[in-house]
Amino acid sequence: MIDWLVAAALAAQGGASERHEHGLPFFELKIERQLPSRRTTFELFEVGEGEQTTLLIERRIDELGGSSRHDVTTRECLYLGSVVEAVTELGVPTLYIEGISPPEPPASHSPSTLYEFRGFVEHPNGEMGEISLSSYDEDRGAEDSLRQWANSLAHNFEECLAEG
Amino acid sequence: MIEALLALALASQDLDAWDMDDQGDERLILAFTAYDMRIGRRTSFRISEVEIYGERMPFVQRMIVQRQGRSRHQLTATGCPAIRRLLRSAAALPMPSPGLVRIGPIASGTRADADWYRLEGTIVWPDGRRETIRVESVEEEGVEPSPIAGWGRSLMRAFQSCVERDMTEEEERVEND
Repeated sequence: MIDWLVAAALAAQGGASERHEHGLPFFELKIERQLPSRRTTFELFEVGEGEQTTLLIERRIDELGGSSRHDVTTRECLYLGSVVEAVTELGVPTLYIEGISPPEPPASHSPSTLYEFRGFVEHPNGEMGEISLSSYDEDRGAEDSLRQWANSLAHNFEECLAEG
Repeated sequence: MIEALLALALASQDLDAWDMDDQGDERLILAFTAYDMRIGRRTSFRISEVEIYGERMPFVQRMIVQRQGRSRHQLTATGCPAIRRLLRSAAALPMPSPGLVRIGPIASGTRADADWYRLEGTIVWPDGRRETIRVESVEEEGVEPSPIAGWGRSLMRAFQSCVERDMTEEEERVEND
């Protein structure tokens, strides 16, 4: 998050962000599989001007043996836009406070895929801030809202690519 | 504003030092930081749980860093009963969903009269896995506080009140001795 603040400050000084030609993303989602090791990163940007403005989703895959980079705009793949927007309805649980919140069943510790989300929030008073949250895929129980949304984004992105 | 953001980013980096202190063996419940950009004062809280005479209780440490220097205070829920009430309200704080909010270039000359808040805690997903969540908010002066900022300000007021009461009692004890 601190990196983003520094990037915002540097971008504000007039130069383009060195991190990406599109500037700062709306969010960054990482899906990191352990075995075999593979990291998929999605970032959402706004590109174009005026009536040509569209959202662009970029996917980078880094794995043993190479990496790839693809992007799709919501103009090219309309339904991907609604998948992206579904992040705003992602249910985030309230804080767990030891001794106050109801006890939860202990979780096992055998993560196979890590999901990490970094983005922004708009608070009820209209002010903005950043948010980061994560989850693990463990082959147990129902998917949580973050995994569900992330998997839907990954699946639909792949479909959009396949459709050309 | 650029300077404020850079100062904020640099100030934030120092937050990591908090975890490096000698409290590493306690279970962290919550961490909260408020940074006043106008005067460059950072107030950080670390709420953990400690065991005292067999009883587990919340333990709150506060660190204030500002130009004039720094201060550290610590209190348990026994010394500051308001802490338990604040933890109960933290458990009910609504966590915001992400938004499609773009932080674009900041126009030069933008005022930096704002406070920055960061709340770090734990959420439990339906499968029982506990994960860390961090939510931040930059709030301009005069705006109704967000739930996170509102909670944090209550924490700051309650803790300060407990510290002042402790100091008054200590002064009275010294006078009586």
